[in-house]
Amino acid sequence: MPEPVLVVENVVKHYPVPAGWLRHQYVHAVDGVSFEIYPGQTLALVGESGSGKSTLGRMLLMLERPTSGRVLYKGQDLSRLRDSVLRIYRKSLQMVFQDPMDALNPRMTVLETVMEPLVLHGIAKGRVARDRALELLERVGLKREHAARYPHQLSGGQQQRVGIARALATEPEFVVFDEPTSALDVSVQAQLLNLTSRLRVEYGLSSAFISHDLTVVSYVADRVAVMYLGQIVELGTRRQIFESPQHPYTVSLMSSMPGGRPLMPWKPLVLEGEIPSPLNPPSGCRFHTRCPFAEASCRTKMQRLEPIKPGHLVACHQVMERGGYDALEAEKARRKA
Amino acid sequence: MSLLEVRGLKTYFYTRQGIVKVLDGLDFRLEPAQILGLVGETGSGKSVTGFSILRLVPRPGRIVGGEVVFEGGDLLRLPEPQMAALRGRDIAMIFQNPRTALNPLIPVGRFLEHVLRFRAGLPRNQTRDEAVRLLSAVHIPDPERRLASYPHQLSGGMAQRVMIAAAIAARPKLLIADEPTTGLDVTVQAQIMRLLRELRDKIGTAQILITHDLGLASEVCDVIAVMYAGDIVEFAPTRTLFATPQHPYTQGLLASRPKLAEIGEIPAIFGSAPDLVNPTRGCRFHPRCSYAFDRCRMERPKPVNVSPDHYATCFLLTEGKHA
Repeated sequence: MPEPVLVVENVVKHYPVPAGWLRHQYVHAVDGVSFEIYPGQTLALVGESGSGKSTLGRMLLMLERPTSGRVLYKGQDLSRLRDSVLRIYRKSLQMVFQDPMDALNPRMTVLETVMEPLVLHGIAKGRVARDRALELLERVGLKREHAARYPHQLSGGQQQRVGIARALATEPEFVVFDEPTSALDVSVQAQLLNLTSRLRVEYGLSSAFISHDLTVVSYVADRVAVMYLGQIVELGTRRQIFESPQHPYTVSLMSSMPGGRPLMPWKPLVLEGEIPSPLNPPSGCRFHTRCPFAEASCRTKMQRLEPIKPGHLVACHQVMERGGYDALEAEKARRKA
Repeated sequence: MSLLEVRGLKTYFYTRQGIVKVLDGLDFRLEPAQILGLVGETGSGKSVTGFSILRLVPRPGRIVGGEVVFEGGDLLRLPEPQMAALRGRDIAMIFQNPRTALNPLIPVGRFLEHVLRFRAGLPRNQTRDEAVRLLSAVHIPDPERRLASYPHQLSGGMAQRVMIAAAIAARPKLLIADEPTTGLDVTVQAQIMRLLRELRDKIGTAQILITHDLGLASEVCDVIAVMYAGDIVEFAPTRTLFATPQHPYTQGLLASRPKLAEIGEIPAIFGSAPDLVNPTRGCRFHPRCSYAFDRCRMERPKPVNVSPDHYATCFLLTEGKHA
């Protein structure tokens, strides 16, 4: 097995929120997350709003410093580096943002936008930078005529192509894609997903792909981490997660996706209630307040990610005890009968 | 008799760049207790259709022609006071971003009681009980206590339930839901969709679900109208549409949806959404259509029936060059 590009060890992010005079409560945005990303691989971080996936994504690049825990890039702990030192690493670590209109400078043309990182990192300047930028634009499927335009003169899909070209300009090794297609129409989304898959191979990128959409994830991910309230509840290869999801939350997330099997009756495992506040996460298993299988022990027992099969980790003691989700579901059905 | 029949509806927007003919002769009908999905991408005119039915088209838009026949009468000819009385009572609408539709200074209970008094015409002493009943009908836990909540104290899913409660307060015959779950999480979306279907099954509310998500529409709608650049390009019962899509755009949409656990290239539709200020001649989809031939560039196609309840607006069906 090759050395991982990125190792995340027990990363925690708590944000203080004032709660009265000189008192603070903490938002537990990310609470003890660990994983590795191997060269050329894409790990998808999937979860609903409030799951901490975006905060985690930003911490991978130190756009947000972890409260505790480590993020190792090729063995170097990024969380201990000062900003000035970190700047050297920024060249190799890039990000593509969700809303390209927010991420692009409205006063810069497409060409200037893509040239900027080349100049800032001292990779190229003048004519050379210009030629490199034009070549990048072509690789992301933009025409020469787009180079002189400003972001508002482009469609959403074209803007996101510029965002991708800019991220790739410094030839990074690792890229975080934060919901890059969620603001786009389906037909354009498909174009962009094909583009990112192609570029990942061409540039040999390793990446983290953040999304709330499991259907999108199923296209891009080698491995998938399902997040709920700041923690990973299930981690496995794409096949493992999509073909035999083990955690009740993953199962409900998967079955809530409309249009999976359009000619079959839609029978989602509908959860009751909504995601609880990360200010005051539930005790024991954080999912127990919505879990259809919850029992008394779930309220107290802390959950740990444990392997149910090689490379497939689940944080649910009930599933672990019974050897799988199917057994858990069958038992519930029996008890009902 | 159909509950709603839209005939030749034209809604134009008079912008500085020129006249944008968002809807230019739209036809469809909706039967009582039926759920119709209006599916399309950004700029397809699906929301404008919803607003046109209620005569709430925002400026600089204007309805310039056609008929909207609801229970036998043309809504476009109704004097405004009668139309105003009809909104919310016979036809109600819910929107994306429910929180922006709620007044932040008014508690949920007062809002619902107001709706019940002035829309449903309930006497003052019954509104409170009815408000509680409505909140429990939309599955809000602890409805008595929720009456005192302000909108900011509600989650997105909860706020949308309150909007649905208000929308069904007067038992409308038709509910128009404009992207009701966009911005909500999938697990909450599943809850809201279950609720909408329950309304139809229990009290027979006909619905128009406006959405960009063909998959979502397939889960709840009886019939689906696929819109592109202001036209309905295909109309069919849901199962038929998925089993035998006829229009190249529908086929492209179905194919470009990433499917669970598939690998390889997604068959994307090339190009981007059409320019409505300067619409292309002929079929509005032809610049993105891989089957387009000469006639598509010259003439606008008319709907062709492939079966009594299934039509598509495409020359391929008449010219025998099957897609």
